[in-house]
Amino acid sequence: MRALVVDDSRAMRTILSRILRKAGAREIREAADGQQAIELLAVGEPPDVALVDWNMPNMNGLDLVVALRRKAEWRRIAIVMVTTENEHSQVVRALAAGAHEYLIKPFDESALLEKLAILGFQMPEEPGEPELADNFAGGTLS
Amino acid sequence: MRVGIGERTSSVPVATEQFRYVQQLVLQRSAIVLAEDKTYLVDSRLAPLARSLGLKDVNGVVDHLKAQRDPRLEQQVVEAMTTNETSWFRDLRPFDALRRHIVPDALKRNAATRRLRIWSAACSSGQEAYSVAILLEENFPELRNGWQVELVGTDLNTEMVRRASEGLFSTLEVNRGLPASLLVRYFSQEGASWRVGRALKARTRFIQLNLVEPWLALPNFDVVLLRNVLIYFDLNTKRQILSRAVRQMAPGGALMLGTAETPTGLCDNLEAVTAEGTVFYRAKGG
Amino acid sequence: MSLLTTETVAQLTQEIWAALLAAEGLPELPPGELPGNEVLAMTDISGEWNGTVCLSCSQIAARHATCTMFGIPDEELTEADITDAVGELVNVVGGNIKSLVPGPSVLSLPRVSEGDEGQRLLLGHLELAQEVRFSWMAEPVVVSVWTVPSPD
Repeated sequence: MRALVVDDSRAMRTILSRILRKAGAREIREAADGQQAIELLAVGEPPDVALVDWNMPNMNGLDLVVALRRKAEWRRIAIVMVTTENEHSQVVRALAAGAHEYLIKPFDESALLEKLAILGFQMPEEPGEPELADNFAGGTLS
Repeated sequence: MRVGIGERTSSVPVATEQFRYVQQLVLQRSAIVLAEDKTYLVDSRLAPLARSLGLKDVNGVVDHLKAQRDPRLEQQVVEAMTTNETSWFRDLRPFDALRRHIVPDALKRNAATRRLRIWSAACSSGQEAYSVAILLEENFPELRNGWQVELVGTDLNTEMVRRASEGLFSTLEVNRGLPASLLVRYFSQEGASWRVGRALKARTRFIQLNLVEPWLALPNFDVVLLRNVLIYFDLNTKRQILSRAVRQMAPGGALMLGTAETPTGLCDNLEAVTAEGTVFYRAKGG
Repeated sequence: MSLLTTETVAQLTQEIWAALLAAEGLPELPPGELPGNEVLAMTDISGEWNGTVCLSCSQIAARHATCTMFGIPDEELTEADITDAVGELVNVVGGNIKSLVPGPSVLSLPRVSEGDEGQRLLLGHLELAQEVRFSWMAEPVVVSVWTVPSPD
């Protein structure tokens, strides 16, 4: 999986990239705003998935989504908006503009992994105990 | 020992003896086994309780319980320790099986009665039940034509039942597994939270039920969802719950377990059906 | 009926700390003086509703948060990392608080400063509306919402 992470916060880009690596992404590129993202996309193979923040300088995420959907070679990129914008109308706008999924901040790691699963990305096989999540007080398997 | 002015509830970890007490209490009240390495969970889950009682630390909660009978606090401790997080459309494929096989079969079988009943056992805050409700709305519009649809969610934890009934979910909760297009279609935003709309509320109801106690007032169900529940019980309890669940199934009904679970060695009355990359079960000869 | 209350701010903060910093259950701090609240981050909400959202904490807490978010050890932290991490935290807090107040409104870029004086100077003309104080990794953290005082 090739990924593009677009967010003006370096900390957030780091968090997202870390989760993407866990999801099996092999090539992750980062941009601090929509403009930088467009410049990155002009070179090399288009990513399979793009995580896009909304509020960024130079070119915001919504405009980037519109740009991504307009160009034929970018139309196959699965777009997930990752943003603090949590108004119902904003989510609708993003989906209408062409975003495939939407993740509201704060989100945890499993939320992003589940969004990727919804979009059809296969997670790398993981052996071991199924779903005995740390957050559950359990249990002896007998 | 109450926290004095200027002091705060500390994070002294639970002592072994106190941990054992909590293990016993949880086992007695819910038949759930709290594993040996889960002391940290006791620390984090009971800290808010200690705080709200003005007790010095988590050990203080247990001391309090030992010193006097406090059924309400006992219930709170059990509930704090047995809560789990759920997500929407968990594991995805079982919902494909529901959509393409289980529900269409049920609709055919019940064409005369026009009644569909689905049970989400150990429903927690309701994500599974509401996910099924969404699936029905999205894929089976015929159900709006004179069908009686009952989605029942049950849970041991009264607070979870209340929350599920209310249907108000936080950002963290709606993020987990709920497609954004369904979020905007079936929920309304309230501040930083999202509330299920009328379409989902109309078909769901939530009641308190302890799986290891007698099941009163439960009808028969066309679909029983018992997913990722049995793993927390010991062998005998698993067998009991499973056989009772099978008796709760309508003829031709389906039972769904968690993706890593199997009734092998627990129940002989079930036959497996494989579909959409997942397995579900029907009663033998039913 | 306003959605912006101390309870909702506390709930938001708990969720953000749980999601971004893997913190479960943050004990509240009693009112009173807090030692070492050196780092101050804030973001403004402007539009239909106007106010400032602040996050203040000790240097140590700021470093903890930065280490967790960047996934690097304390020795490798730079000042720029801390500014970025704490700025993003207040950005997420502010963005969520924005949804509790009447809209439409926009969130400003976060700004991060250090030193106790910062608080008094930057917020002197505003009124404290909600404040949530808690302990995280044995360090005090305060999330507060400030508004323009009503002309009385």
